[in-house]
Amino acid sequence: MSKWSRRRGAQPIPLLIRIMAGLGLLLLLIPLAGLLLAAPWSNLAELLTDEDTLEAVRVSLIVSVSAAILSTLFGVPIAFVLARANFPGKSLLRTVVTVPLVLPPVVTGVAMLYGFGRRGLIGRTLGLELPFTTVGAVLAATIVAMPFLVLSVEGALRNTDPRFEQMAASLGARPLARWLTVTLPMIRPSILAGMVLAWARALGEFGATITFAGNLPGVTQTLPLKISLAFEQKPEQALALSLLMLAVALAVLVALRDRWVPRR
Amino acid sequence: MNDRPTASESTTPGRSGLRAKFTLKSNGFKLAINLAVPAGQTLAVIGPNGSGKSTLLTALAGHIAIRNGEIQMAETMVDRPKSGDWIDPVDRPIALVPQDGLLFPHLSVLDNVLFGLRQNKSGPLTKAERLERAFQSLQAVDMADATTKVPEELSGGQAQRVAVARALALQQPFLLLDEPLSRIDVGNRRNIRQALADQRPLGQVQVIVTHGRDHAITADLIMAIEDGQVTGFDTPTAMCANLPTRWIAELLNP
Repeated sequence: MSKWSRRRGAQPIPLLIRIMAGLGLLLLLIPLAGLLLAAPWSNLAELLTDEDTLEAVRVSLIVSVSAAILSTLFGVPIAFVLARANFPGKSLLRTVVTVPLVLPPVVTGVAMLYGFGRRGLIGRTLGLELPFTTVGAVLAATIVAMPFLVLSVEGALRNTDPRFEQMAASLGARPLARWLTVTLPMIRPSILAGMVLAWARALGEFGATITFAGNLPGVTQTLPLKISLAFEQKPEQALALSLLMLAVALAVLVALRDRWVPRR
Repeated sequence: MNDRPTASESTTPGRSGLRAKFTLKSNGFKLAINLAVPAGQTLAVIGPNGSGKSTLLTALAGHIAIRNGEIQMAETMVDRPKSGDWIDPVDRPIALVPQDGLLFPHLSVLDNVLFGLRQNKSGPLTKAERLERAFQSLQAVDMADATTKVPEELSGGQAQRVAVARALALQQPFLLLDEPLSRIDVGNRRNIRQALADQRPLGQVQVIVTHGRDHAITADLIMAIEDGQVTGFDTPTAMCANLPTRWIAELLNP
């Protein structure tokens, strides 16, 4: 029996739906196939170890890992407040936190210039120089990455039985001790998943970074910025870097496969 | 509705007992309670499913606030809306055994039992003292050979036994148990009853929600709750003689 034949008792899927699903799949597969076919496989190693590539990899790692850590540091408490506290304006807080998910990153970058820029709200009052620095790139990546962590952790908090915290209270644990010894350890898998998602989003960040932090090699030029620049001058290098990022993306999906689709 | 629990007239709770006379509302459900248990005695709480037995324990533990009346544990008023008295669950002199055990899934059996001891609920203890107490209470429920297991590896009955050990280890003046024996086999039931009995000479008040006739009639006092109302509160002998409602009669005189 072919493995495509229907299991006994399963409902048939109409032909029209199969065709549409197939076309959708092609839409996703054709660019990937094109990339894999065009890739400069013969001198891939050389292109990936070339000095300015390594520099972009270094900047990307610093920016994305810092952004993932900052997202966790601020995002977990935000998720806790969203999941547990009750106060007026809570839906406003949720909107503020999730807006970078749907806002074009360029707009986030422009907004950051007016908030953290030299003549923006914070820059003017504190005299900070954030735009066009690595710290600026980290902030841009954090803003776009944090919603992924917040949503993942908030969902986990809502799914944990509040009676575990009550039990900890009855055993004499005060609020901070309960949070550190019961709540956090119980949602650890979701925090880790949220960190990986936030890291992957930060690694791919382009629009907010180029607007707010620019495209300075060795300072703010991350892999996506490097790819876009290299495409004009050295398409082979752009292809090699694209392959690298595709490999990272696939690794993230494999690492998180049980979180996306619950296994049956 | 009688104003005083009948049993309290013959056995006054004294300074170190439990007194609770209150009403509360939780998710539209109304509960009216009037009870008094002297130090060193056991109160068995019986009643049909959904009658408010677990809600009573939740209120005593302080996870919900009462609406009217008062709860007094020894000399301390732990909840009295009228005067604003309120003691946080963290500071109530209680240990709780919830129905499904509620062991922390990320901690080993030993760390579950040590959890309360590490919070100074039983006063400051040295590491050696904490370990000794934890092992003693695990031995009392015959789980001392499973210290490194995690809750996932335990059967329902084993988890309940560890939950009892976790509460015993705290040595609190008031022990609240929600059907602690429901999933435990006959041999281990005897162990646990013995472990509970060993605490009473120290003056511990035990409130046990139970569906078991044997457990109810061996308590010092029985309280029946039906549909949020106390329908009987007496010694087992008197309760078996009077049988105030049909439900009580069916449980106690099958």
